[in-house]
Amino acid sequence: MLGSHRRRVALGIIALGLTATSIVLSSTALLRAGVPAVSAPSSAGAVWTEEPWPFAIDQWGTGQAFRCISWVCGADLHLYLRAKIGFCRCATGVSEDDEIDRVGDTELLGPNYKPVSAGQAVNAGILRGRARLFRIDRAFRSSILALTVALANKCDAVVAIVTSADDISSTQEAIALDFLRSETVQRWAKMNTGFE
Amino acid sequence: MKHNKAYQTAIYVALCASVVVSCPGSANAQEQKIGAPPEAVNMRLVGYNDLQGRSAYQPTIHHQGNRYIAYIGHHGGTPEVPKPMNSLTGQPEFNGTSIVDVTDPAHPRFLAHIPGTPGNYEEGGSQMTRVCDGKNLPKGDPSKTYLLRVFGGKSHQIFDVSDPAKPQLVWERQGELKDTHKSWWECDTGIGYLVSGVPGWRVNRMTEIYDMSDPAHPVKIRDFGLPGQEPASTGPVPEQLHGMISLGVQANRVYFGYGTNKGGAMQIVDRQKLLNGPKEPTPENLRYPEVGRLTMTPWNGAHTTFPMLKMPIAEFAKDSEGSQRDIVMIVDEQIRNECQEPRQMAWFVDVTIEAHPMVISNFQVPEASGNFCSRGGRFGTHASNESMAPVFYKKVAFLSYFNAGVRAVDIRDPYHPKEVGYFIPAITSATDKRCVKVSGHDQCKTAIQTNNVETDDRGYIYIVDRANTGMHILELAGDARGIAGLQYQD
Repeated sequence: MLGSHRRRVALGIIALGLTATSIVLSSTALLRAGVPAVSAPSSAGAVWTEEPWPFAIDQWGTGQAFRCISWVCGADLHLYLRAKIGFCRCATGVSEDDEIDRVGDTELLGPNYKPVSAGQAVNAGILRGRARLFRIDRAFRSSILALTVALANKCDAVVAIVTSADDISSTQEAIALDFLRSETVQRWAKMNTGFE
Repeated sequence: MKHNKAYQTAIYVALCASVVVSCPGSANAQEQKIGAPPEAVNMRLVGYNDLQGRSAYQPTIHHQGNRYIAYIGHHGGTPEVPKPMNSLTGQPEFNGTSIVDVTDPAHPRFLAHIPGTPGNYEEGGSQMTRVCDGKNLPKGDPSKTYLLRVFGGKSHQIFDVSDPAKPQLVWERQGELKDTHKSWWECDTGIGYLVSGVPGWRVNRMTEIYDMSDPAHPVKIRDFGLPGQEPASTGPVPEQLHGMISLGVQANRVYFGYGTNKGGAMQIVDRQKLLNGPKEPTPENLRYPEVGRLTMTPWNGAHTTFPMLKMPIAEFAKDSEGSQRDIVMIVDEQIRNECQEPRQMAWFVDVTIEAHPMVISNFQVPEASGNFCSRGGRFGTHASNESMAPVFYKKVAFLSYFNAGVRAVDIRDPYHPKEVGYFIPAITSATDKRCVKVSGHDQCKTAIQTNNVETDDRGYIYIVDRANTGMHILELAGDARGIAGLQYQD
């Protein structure tokens, strides 16, 4: 009995250690990225927590992945954010839907995608651009909707894709865009983009 | 005792912190200083022109009658000086094209400046130049010389520069483009491959092909790009065009470079099929003229694709096959300052079997040889000379390397390229700063930013500076001259 108790205590200590280690590792990664782990709640009350970047590394490196769980956002939302330095037209930024296609990260979710509707202009603090809803066809799985956001700060792009296992409602689109307007993302954008 | 331990720890932390702080300080010792001499090995300064303090992109050197004329395309100005003064007219002018008589390379004479479009840095100016003589163009006026240039990102223009001091506009492409860049003009056929951004295409830079044999009346032939870039296509968009080089009718090949510093591809195209094949921009029609394609690592791009066919390889001389190889030198462009991205360099690609191009070697400058990541500005390749004059062709390549100046590379064995000289110009009071963001704030340094390089048929090397330092005219020195068959000089 005592042995069992000691085992439980030992397991508890190991669990605590692992949790602490994961917190430290997570914080280190976030410090490197310049993004705090938990954002301030948006106007919709959403809370975004960071999760590992799930995509293979490509020419733009890795970005930051965030999740808003269903009981606060209405659906399990995933938002993938990164900067693409020097990828924008300096003078005009992301001013048309073709630029969303060219600059955006939709292809991370699969190569077969089509726009669902025309894009719309989006302002997010120091960032200006457009957002557009795409449907991505996936092999052996059902298709998925994604909101692709492409924003510009001078010659640099800030791109985000927002997905959910369920369809994304306009309310959830608004929640995601609010997160891009949040102090968390704006501070990160100021520190990492806007080069001449 | 505990107190002592804490004290020792504090000292240790302070020491570590001081080491961290001092590291950038020691690197700063490598920063260039005004008044310091240029750094050089086997290359020598012959002449200089300040180009009115304008940021320079591309020089083209044209043997024009009994003169040599340099046509230099400029980027836009800076926020501090958006319209530098044209000392010839006394008027401030947006950066455009400078025309300099370099017949006597020791005493270059500034002849004219043609203004470009408003806008600073990449937004304005008139970056690209190509020049053809009317006597070579099928329908040109034999007494005239023509300059093809971009007009900012909006358009293309042709000027009569028969009198290079008095350029006259003869043609401008109508309708605004999304962007332009480094075009190519075949002087013997007049075919112009224009880097354009035709509205509707999904990229800002693709190819418009024109028959420019009559420079006053160019005729559009077709649009071209990679499948997926054309209007109305869906899915991922292939990286956009940077530029191309055509080998003309005889070799029947055009080499296109896509991507600049990322997602690079080099595409080998059958020129006849390109010009005479079906022109509607469908995926099938865009694929039709392609002979081969090299997909590069996504961390590098293809800025310049310089072909050198039938190069004899000494090591393979006794081989029953393959003793000559077709080589394309791909030069990437470094975009970000102070090594804030993957390193860009020059790649040598064996394209003898065109359907299966393969990288066989690369050339790069060791960072530690000059602490270049800490000097300021960009460090890495940007472009190569594009002249195919016999003096250097297939023997010595010159690479513009931003803060590492220009590098002379012996390429006679493209499997083992090796540096034989370099020249890093001194900075001047006109040299513009380059910044990186540290904790959200600009941290700026001043360094040479050798942007492009060109050579002439006499063996002079012309380098121009992106950071407004001007144009330096150089020659090889020492043993390096022998590679080009030039007379030895100390």
